[in-house]
Amino acid sequence: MNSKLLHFEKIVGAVALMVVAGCTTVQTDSAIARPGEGVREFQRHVTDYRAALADCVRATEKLVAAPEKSEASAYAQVQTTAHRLEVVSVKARARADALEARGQEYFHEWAEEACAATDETSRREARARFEGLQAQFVIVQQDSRRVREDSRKFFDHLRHWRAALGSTPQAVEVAKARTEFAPAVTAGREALTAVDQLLRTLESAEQAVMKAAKP
Amino acid sequence: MKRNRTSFRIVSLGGLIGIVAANIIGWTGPAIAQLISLPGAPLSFVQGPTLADTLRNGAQATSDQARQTAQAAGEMGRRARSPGYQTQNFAVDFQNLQIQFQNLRAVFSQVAAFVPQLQSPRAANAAAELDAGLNIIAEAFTPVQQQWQAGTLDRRNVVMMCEVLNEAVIEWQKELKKNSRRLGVIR
Repeated sequence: MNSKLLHFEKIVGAVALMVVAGCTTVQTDSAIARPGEGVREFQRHVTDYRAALADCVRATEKLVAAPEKSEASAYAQVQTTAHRLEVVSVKARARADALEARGQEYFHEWAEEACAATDETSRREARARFEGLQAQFVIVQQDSRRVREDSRKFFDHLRHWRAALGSTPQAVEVAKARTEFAPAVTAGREALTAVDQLLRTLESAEQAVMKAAKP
Repeated sequence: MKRNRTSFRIVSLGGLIGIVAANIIGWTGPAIAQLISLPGAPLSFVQGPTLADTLRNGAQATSDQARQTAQAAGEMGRRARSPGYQTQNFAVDFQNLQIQFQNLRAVFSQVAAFVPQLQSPRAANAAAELDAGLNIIAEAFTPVQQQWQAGTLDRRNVVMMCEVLNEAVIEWQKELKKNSRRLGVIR
């Protein structure tokens, strides 16, 4: 019985070693992206999100300023841009959520990218330089959180209208909800400001990561 | 020695799925939470001889389920455009769509449960992003669900929800494919 158990433990040990060996391969093989790729991809998602958000905020501003007779068409335009925003925002918001959920662990991937040099000495040096970027990552996290929170406020307005007014409400219903439009514009502008700040932060983070990757 | 064997039992797949499922229940609304697969549910895909094979099978199963979910949303949207679309039709379609979406979450959760074994930040980040993506997509159900509960269901809103879900899930499926390398599916 004991020898069988010992045999089982050996197999388990061997499997564990194989897994560890496999992980080493995963972390150092060619699958590693180029330095700064993670930041650049996030930048692309946030840039796409910004464009859709700006369209929707503009449409909401027009709704606030619309005369009574064109309120319904202005509202329809808000709904159309909101629809696009819902789809386009998923990638940027998902990344911001993941970044927050995983905390500092998230940046290990960026470090991996930056430290994927060919020789061990260069990798070690790059890792040391990367350690100095922790403060920058904290700012990325803070700005991402702000984008997430401010965006949510704007989305809440849009969804509330959709639930309360529907997609093609009567002019009288739109007129009744008029007081709700201005706060939505404020929320939208705040979300845009947060996104712009995040884009600036990501730009300097990308530069810092590239600098850390190259001696 | 006995303790080691016990540890192996504790770190079972069912347990991992349980943790993931419990997290999802915390993130989603009550109506969706009811449809979550229970801890210890059987795998929705074939476990391969290696971790990479298992992840590949899981990613394929997830991709298939994403396609089915997008298709269900697209078909529901087409039906909802018809003037004869009734509340009873909506109830059946909506439940079916929620089940499809929940199956997508469940199969992806099972894949994500294998990711920690890779001990790779890239893979863990990719899984976290995809998971967060599903949480965000799930928000599209909310306005229609609220209207339904309030008895003010708007057919055009149903169509819009279906379009958002259809497009967002297709985008998510593309992200899943794009993230195959990060997830350790392709070496």
